[in-house]
Amino acid sequence: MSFLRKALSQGKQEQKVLEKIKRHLGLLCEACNFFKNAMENNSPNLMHHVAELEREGDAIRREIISDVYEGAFLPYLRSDLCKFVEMVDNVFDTVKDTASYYLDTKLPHEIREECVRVALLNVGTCEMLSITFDAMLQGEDLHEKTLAIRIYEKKVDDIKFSLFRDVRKVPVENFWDGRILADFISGLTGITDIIEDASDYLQIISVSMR
Amino acid sequence: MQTPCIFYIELELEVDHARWMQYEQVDPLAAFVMADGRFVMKLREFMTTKLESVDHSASAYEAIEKMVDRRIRSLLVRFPGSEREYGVMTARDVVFKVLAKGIDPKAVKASDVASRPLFCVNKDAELGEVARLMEEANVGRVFVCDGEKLAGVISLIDLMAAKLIERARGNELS
Repeated sequence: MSFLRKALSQGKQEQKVLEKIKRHLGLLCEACNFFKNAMENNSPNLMHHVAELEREGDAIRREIISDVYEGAFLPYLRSDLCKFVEMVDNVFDTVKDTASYYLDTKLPHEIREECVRVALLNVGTCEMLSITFDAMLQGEDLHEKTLAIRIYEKKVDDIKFSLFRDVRKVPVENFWDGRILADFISGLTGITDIIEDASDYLQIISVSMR
Repeated sequence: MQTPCIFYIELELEVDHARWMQYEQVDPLAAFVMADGRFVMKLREFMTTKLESVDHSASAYEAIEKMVDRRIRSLLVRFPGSEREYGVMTARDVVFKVLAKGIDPKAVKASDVASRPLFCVNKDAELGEVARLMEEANVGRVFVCDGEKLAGVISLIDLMAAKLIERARGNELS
């Protein structure tokens, strides 16, 4: 059994924390999925659900950190795991903020389809992060998983440049309408960047344990 | 001129719509899980939807300019008729049919350089089928159709990216 697998799999406390981290990642995937569905169906109700999931994610994050510093895992592992959880929380916050911007703006039809594509890619990236975490727990090599996440991020980047080019042709009524639209696009296209950073961090944890 | 004849694949896939529609307990993986349990990527995730085109009567030089400015390797060439009547002009066509032969691109029309017909697949096609089509037809890109409409294009690079993701998910297709 690899050292990482051994280090992470001892004790009920540790198992509880790992299950909560998996649950945290699962909630993130759900949130991104609701976000995508809300955009596809133009449903504000579904979009409101994203904020609820984010609050639930916050609660789980606090439990994880509390459990970790109450004694789960060896001290040198604690900060790494907590940092990863905080990075996932950053993704959650970005998804929630982007959902708020969506509810506060009228998405121009010229860019709607591309925005839905990015939302779909965000779902895939989240799922990949969850798969990467599971792979790390199994002591597997993470190179292929993190490559897949980088592929998603690159794809979103390609669409981002095209989005910003197209949105400049869209008239806005005032500064704040334009600002909120820009924030929405930045948030939507920035989710994969944060997930990529989180996956890179998992790779660091994995390599440092060998 | 070749008689236009579209090589077209239609594949019917079953998706577990019942699970997909249950918003209360959404399984994010449900959308991509086939009836037989395999996880497959969808073309729409990786195809390029922004299709640039030129008119068939434009010069090859104008088409080349557009390809350089947009940083793209292929361009649709619009012929009269439906979207299925389009041709495609690629960097390969430009180099081998025009520039390498010392032909002045301003003296040649896009219609003379374009390849026809377009190789198309239905938007619900699986990536494995697309790969086989590319290999059999020896083409570097395949256009994606939604009914009679061109929805996008998927290139070898896009296919490679999608296959790597399937592999990372642990679902390599035969």
